[in-house]
Amino acid sequence: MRGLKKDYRRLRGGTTRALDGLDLEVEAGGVFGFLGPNGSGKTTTFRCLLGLARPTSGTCRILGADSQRDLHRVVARVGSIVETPALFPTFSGRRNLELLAALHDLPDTRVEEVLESVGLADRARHAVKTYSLGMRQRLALAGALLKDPELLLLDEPANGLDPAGIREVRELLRSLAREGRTVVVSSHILSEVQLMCDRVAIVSRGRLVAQGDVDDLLRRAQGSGVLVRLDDPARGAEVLRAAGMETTESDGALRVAIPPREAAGVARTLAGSGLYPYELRPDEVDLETVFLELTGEQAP
Amino acid sequence: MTRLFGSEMTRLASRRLFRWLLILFIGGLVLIGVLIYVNDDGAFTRAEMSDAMLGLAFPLLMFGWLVGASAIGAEWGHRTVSALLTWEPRRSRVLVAKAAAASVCTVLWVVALQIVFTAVLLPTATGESAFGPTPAFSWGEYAELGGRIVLVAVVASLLGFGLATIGKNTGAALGGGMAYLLIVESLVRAYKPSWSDWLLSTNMVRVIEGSADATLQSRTTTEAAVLLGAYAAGMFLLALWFFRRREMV
Repeated sequence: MRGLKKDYRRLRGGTTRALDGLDLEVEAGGVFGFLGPNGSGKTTTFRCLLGLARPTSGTCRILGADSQRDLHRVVARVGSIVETPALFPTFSGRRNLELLAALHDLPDTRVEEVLESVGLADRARHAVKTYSLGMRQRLALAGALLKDPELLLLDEPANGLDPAGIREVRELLRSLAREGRTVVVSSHILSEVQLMCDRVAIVSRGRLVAQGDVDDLLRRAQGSGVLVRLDDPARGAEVLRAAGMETTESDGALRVAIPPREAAGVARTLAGSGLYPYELRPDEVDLETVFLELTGEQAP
Repeated sequence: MTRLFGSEMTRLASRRLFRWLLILFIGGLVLIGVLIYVNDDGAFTRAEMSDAMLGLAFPLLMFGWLVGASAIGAEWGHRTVSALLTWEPRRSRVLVAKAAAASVCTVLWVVALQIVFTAVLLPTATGESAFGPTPAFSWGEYAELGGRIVLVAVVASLLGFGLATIGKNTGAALGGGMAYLLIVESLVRAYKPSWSDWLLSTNMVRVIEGSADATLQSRTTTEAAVLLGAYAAGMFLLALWFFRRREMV
């Protein structure tokens, strides 16, 4: 995607900018996380990629094909879920998949395979309207897998799943990536993204604010502090401040603003005053912290 | 394109709404046949089967309209159009396949209903006229009448399909159709009677009647059929224009 912009016209006049010059390139292979707060343009990006929405300006290519003109050339290699699952409620799960399979002349055995892989084989003959949200999500995932695609675009695939389901989907997507496929997944469950994704892009207000390996992003964000726990944190803070180390106290722990490689100095200073920490480690940040910092969102 | 069409046919044939409609329709036709049989005084002739078939034309047109409208309207309702476009992004093909499937289903189901209707009338239609010679009956002419009704039902189906595509639901097509018939046609007949030869219902009646002594005299059956075809094609092209430009939200 290069300079992708998308404006939606409002009924009462004016426009809402959903994408504001988004530049993004996803390399083949692995699980790529696409993160952003609500309304940041994630779903619009997926829509543009899949030809469901027309960008106001910019280019959008998928597997080398222009998504607005040549998508049909590569669509057999792309599986997708956009927003909530779109299924015929009075048809059975199997019938929904059979109708899709018929479009690409896929055999019925493939339908059974994907139903099995998402754990829906037992309920496949029941009408979709009797399914829970999680089951519908699984069925949509089965639909996305039906073509045995080399690229999967999944918008919030874990929506509505219980913890066991989320874990199953994570393992399924990881295994697909290990087979050499590319999985692009948007999610707001950041702990899940951290476990599942190799690389991430973070968007805010329709713009890319960060992109890279998950580990790199976390490494870049940390390295600026050390976390210390000891029996008397108030006195420990005094000692460290007196030694010229910027120290803050929260939740019974001290955060000292020095690079982690200088942690030995913290231990030495405290020991010099007869204080012995029982925990001393780099102040690690998680993806949620990075995300909130980059997008300017408030933690709940 | 063939696979797309096949998938659409399967989907329409699997729709519970259509199955129930067909069952209700057939039940109603059988009931009519039984009532005619029970109340017959021996004067119900085969020629009167044609009149009965003419009476069935309007319900069959409504059925065609509903099939066309619901063929795409239900998809908008369940947002499955977006899902389908992630499998076949060429929108023109998608809409052509859907319209073709709706038209073929309309033909098959309307013909089936006509056959059922004919079958339930046949046991009674053996009488002779009490007021003179029994009118002649020709199976060929009867089949032609059935064919003309099927043709107009397909036009109704395409018009319903087009309106539902533009309005994004079945209700829009049904409401739009009713509004057209009740408001537009009434206004034209009241204030611009010279335009009434161009109205949908006038030409539909002309095609169904088929004979030289039909209500509309300024146009032949073929001309009226061509005009209806042009209306259906125009509606479909308009729907296609909307469909190709529409953002799938």
